[in-house]
Amino acid sequence: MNFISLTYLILLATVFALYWTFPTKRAQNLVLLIASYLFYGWWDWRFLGLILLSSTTDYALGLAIYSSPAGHRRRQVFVGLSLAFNLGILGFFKYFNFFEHSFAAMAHRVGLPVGELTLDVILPVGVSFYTFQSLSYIFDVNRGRLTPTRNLLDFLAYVSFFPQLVAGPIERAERLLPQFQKARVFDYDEACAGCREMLWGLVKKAWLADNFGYYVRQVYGDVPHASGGQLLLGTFFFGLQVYCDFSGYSHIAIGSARLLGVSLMRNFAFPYFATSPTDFWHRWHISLSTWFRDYLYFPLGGSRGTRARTCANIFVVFLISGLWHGAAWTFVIWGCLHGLLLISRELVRKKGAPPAVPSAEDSPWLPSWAFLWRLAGTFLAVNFCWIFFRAASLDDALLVIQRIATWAPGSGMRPWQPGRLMVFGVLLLAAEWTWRRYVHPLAAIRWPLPLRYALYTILLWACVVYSPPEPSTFIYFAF
Amino acid sequence: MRRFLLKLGLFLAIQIAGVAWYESTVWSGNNQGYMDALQDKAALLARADEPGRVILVGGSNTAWGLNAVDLGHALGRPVVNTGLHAALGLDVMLDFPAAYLRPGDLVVLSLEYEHYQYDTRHDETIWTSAPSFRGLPVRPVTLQPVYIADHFLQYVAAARDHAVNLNKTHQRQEEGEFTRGAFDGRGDMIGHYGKPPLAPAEGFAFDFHAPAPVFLGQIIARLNGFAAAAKARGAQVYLCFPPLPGQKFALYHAQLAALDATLRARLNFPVLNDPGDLLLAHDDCYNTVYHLTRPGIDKRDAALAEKLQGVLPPRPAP
Repeated sequence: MNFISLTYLILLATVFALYWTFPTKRAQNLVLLIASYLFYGWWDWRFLGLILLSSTTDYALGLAIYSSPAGHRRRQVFVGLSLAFNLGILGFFKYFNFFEHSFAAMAHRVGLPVGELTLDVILPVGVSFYTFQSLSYIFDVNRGRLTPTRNLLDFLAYVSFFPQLVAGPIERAERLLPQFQKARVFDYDEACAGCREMLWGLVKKAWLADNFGYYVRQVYGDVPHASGGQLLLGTFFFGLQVYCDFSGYSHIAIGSARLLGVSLMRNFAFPYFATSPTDFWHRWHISLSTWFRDYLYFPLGGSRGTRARTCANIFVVFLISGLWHGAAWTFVIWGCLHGLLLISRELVRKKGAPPAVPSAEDSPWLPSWAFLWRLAGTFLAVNFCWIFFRAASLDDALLVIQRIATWAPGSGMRPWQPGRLMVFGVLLLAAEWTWRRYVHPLAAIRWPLPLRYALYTILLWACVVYSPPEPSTFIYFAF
Repeated sequence: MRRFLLKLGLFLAIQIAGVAWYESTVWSGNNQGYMDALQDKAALLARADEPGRVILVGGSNTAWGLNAVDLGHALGRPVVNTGLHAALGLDVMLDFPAAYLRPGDLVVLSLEYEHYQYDTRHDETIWTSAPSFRGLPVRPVTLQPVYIADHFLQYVAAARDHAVNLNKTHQRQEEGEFTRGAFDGRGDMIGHYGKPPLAPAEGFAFDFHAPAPVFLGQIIARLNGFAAAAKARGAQVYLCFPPLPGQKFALYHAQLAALDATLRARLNFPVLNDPGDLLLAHDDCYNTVYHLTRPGIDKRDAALAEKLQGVLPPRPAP
């Protein structure tokens, strides 16, 4: 079930009505569980078996880990079992085809006759997200940061919570699960804020991301015929598309949860106002980057060892992050490039030196040249990496770079309304810069009710009036 | 909670009022579009004073490729052309005339080759013509409530495109094509009669690949189901292949022969012709392989009339 649909609105309204009509913990969690499974099964009911299996296994393993003494071998076996199970699911559904094709291609190159084992494995929507969420539960229980719940209903409702089930934010058990272990109470201000956040998410996805995406699909879909200029613009537009698409989804998820009295973590904090690659990752897909930080980077040793060890740890984290995003070499390279950006910064950074420029939130409306210089550098570096993220293949990505670098002429391609898209991009960035101290621009509006309603109506209708001929699906659904 | 619901209700009421205004003034304002011809075809099918009708069923190959008036003269029977657009999908194409069948009717099913190759039911271009289906006994899948709810924003955007296209429609009215007024009283598209072809017949796109057996099996079951329902109403069904330009037929004749053989073996009703019975010449196609110029239509009418002469049952008394 897509967020951008009347079906979702009907589901949310029904859940809202039932949820607040029976304000007991058990009833609320039951409503959420049924709604979540309906939401997920709307794509393909066969996926329900997988999520149910994954959840009940981690529920049982969580209890088993808790009942084993700390440091005991049995405890480690249970953690290992959970890891093997969750990563096994992820590996099979997401990476089987990738590794099988890569192995076959490699064997073919060295002259080994390898018959291709063809399995048409369907990627269950959101499997990367809820697998990581389940794993966070196991890790937190193992570390003693969380007492596992004995209530299966609470646990199933936590894992499958529909607003964030298929594309995050990837919540930590220690933050989200306790919210399901008590009855939620309706809060007027939270509900209003939730509606505003959903509207902003809709604007970002349906109006902005889909428009940028339409241009990007045209130029990246026919790289040999697009000019260098069109590809450069297409790359910037893709940067805006992927940002609006994913952060729009996160806003709708967080807004929906707020309507139900559940608080989800912020997932994006104006990433294109970052002044360094490190700052970018503090602002982009925050729930994933902090997940990797807490459950991979820190256990590897983080920055506690030598500088070489720190760099190696950074590289491993971003390599895996790239692979998490997609089972293709383009994503692996994308991750590695980000790893190298952070490593290069780590190498030139003086330990303990204070930041040379203030953060975007602390900058005045007209920032300093130093700030702008860093912002532009980060923006360009991030957009360069997006080429690999978006390109259909490695060859395509290299061709995009070559055509941009040589400013290659196009062959008659006329992509869709670049002028209009540039205006949209400037409007978005201007609005976000103006209200960067808030979670999103609509959270800052304090106008009288009629004016606010007029603004909301204009934004809502803009989604219709300015929608492109073909909308795109959420990019992160593929992960 | 009450305060929240009141404010949310007020906001939603404003939006619904806006949609209602848009719906009543802009979107529904034009009922002269191409798809609105469905209303005329429904009225024609509902007429009770025409016993022993020949009903032509199909997509635009039927609307633009046959002339019911001339066929009627040749057969001495009332002929109704229900063809309109392949993107309506097979279900609508069959269910629409099925609702009006009467004893003594003879149905000629002329399906575009695309229907045997892939699912034609999910064409969202139909959204721009949603009002054309008002009051009709059928609705395409893409206009059913659950589908619209799942794709609501795109649906509303299609309404926007419909409004934008109104001006273009008015321009086209002057040209005489793609409008309700371009059909004659028996459901034939005549707006392009007398116009030269836009390209030689060989220049229009056409692909035919052997359909997946499972999918073809589903289509055959669907067609057999339609024939059984027609029989229950006292009507007979015949399948007819639309003609193709000679060059296109030559490219795919093996696949088309296989399709013909499969259909003859598994359909529970007769097939009138072979795909290669009539091949179109250089100037017979107007703007697709299925939309014919007047000379092309005359050829197809003559070939079909000859086949039908041999199978027409006696005309029932009025």
